[in-house]
Amino acid sequence: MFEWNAYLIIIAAVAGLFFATAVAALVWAVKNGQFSNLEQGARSIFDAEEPEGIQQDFFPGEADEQRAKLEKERRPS
Amino acid sequence: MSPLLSFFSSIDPKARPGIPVKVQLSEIDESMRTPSILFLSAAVCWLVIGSFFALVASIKLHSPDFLANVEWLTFGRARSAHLNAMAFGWANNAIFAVSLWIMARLCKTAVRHGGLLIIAGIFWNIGVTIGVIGILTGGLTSVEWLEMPPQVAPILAFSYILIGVWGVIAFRFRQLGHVYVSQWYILAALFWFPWLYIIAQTMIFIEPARGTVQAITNWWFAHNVLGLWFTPVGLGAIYYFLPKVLGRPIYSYYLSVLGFWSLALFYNWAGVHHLIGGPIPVWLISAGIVASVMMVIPVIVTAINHHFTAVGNARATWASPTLRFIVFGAMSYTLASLFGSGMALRDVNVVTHFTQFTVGHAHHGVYAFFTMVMYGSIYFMMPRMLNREWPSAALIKTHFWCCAIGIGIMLVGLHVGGWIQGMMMNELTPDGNPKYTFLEVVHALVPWLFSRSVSGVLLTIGHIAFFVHFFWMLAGPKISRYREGPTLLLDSIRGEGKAG
Amino acid sequence: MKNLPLLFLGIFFCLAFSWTGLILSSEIQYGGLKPIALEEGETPQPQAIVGEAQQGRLIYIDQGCLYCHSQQVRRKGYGADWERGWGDRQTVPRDYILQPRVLLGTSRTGPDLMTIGQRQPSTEWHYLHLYNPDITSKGSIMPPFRYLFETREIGDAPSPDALIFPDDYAYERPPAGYEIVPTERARQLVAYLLSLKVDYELPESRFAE
Repeated sequence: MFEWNAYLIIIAAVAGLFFATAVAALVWAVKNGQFSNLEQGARSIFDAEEPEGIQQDFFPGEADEQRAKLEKERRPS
Repeated sequence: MSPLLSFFSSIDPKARPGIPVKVQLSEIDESMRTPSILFLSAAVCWLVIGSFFALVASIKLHSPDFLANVEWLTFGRARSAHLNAMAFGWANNAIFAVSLWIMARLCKTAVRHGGLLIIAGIFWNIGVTIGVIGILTGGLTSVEWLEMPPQVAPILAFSYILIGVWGVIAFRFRQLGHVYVSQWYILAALFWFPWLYIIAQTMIFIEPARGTVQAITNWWFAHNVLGLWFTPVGLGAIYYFLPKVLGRPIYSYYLSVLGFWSLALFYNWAGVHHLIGGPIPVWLISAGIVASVMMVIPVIVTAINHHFTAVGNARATWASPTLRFIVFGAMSYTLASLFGSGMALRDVNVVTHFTQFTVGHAHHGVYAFFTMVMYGSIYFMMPRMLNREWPSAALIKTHFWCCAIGIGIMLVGLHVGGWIQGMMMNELTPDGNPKYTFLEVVHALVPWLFSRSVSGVLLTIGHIAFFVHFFWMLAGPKISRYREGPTLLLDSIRGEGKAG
Repeated sequence: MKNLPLLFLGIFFCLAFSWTGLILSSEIQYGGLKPIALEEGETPQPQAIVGEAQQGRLIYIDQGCLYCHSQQVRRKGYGADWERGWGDRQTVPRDYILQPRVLLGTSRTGPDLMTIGQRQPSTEWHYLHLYNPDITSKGSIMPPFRYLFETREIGDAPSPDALIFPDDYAYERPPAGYEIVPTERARQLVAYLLSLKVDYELPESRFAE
């Protein structure tokens, strides 16, 4: 069996290796453009059927009333 | 072409290049309808069954003579039946429905071979049923979060793989372009869960590890079910529904990327904090504590992101059933996670460990965060899949208020009661003897346990309201009164043509 | 991140890292622990439990005792385990190596049971306590396990195991001519509870002062 210290060294080495890999992956990802155009990504959930800027969900039977209130609230600003 | 070959080519995007053209959201919803409804129906039934066991277990804890002579409902079995009915019955079925639906929508691809999904779903639920009956009739394993007799594991693992793989197939069929953050969370969760489950089954039951390595495996698994399965799906759903319903994109997409990878990195080390002070090497415990504290990073990052997306939209949030639940869940996630990091500190843990505080914390995460988010998601999905409105706003409000107040009472009761329990347990007189006998501690705890039963009744009422509403909605379009479509946006487009 | 294999690799790496770090490394570090004698010539400790007690562990497991009772003693000075008399020393990994299923537990709604065989060595006490915990522990919220006992007609002579109820609990007494005796399961469970002892020292964990 290993000594206690040997464990610490192995664990530190594995952790260091892991950290280095993570940094390398990050650098690669940035260079490769994996993180480019992030803000556009955020908009990818909207489409013609459920467009940006329109509330999608109300309690049944309260939609018209609530939508009118929201409109009124947003108009001054 | 042989049937098998044609099956494989039908799930391979490369086989027919250019075929997956733009699919309308409503068509995707249509294709997901049968499997999703199956999973959700099962989920809602398990929710009610789980509530029954929860109530029995909760009442037994302050009134031990309640149903005392029914062996299959003894406390240890009733609470395990509750946990497994909720975790593997309610939560997993809800996850299958919600995550596959979100995945299909984000990949803009209709689900293929939904029939296989249905068969796998039926087998999953048969497996859980056998498991829960097994727990009640003497097959309880006493391994936390893996209480079901190990014999059902192959059924569960096999049907899970058949279910989970559809998420991956959908991902491969995605329209080129961006991968949204919810897709990462869901894809990761779909991969993580089977690994966790199979490794835990192997190292605890099939080829048991020696000594307390079992306990480490157990908590690595149990904590990761929460951290790498419930949490990513819950967060994925928040990241989808919050901006979707409000109609405004997430505040910072960059932060969501950071949040994902820090969660993936730290959460799976945190489970050892359930063994602080226990008979395992100290360095493991320290690693677990460090990871638990590091979890503050993804939690704060996610909280900031959600907050700035929703801020200034209080009325809009309140007007939407989906967002009421989702925002409640998102806020609970932040709070529960920060509590969790705090509880991992040795000085806090010495009080909270072994007490009801931990039980309260588990419900904080699984119920106040995860389950509330799943409710919100279901309120959004159902009208779109059925092209039909929820029949009653009052039932939704009943459901929301019963659950919100119920879980509120439970959290206060168990956190405060648990803290008192822990303090009394540890307190010494000046000459170094325990200040309170064990039975005095128990006695002080009982009123708090009683408050949990009160909260259990409220939650059960909420669950029954949800159950009734869900099946009422399924029962038929003729009953729904709001055909003109409040939650169904742009009904004219989704329209009459497809509804038939 | 648009690339599935890459995303998959990251996802895999994170989980594999924690599995290696937490489970594999502890398996390597102490998965091979063996019983050890404190001094040459003594019996190596711990020893495996045998016979009825072994059966009793299965009852303990299927009744879910673990959900209220832990089996671990923390070091003196951390919590009040030592002060409560739950053990003379901290329990360490070696104490558990011969248990086919480790029942550490994470809840102390009831007291720790690591040394219950030393604290309550009386069989009668355990039978009464299982039958109705209130008799031995006033105000206990432990569920009664009456279904582990049977009421039967007294044969030629009363059974030595028959429960004797104190006057305050006269209502528990069976009708005249009958007696309440533990079933085999109750006997096994009690044998298991009595076998739970930490009355030996290990090199890495000596009795605390």
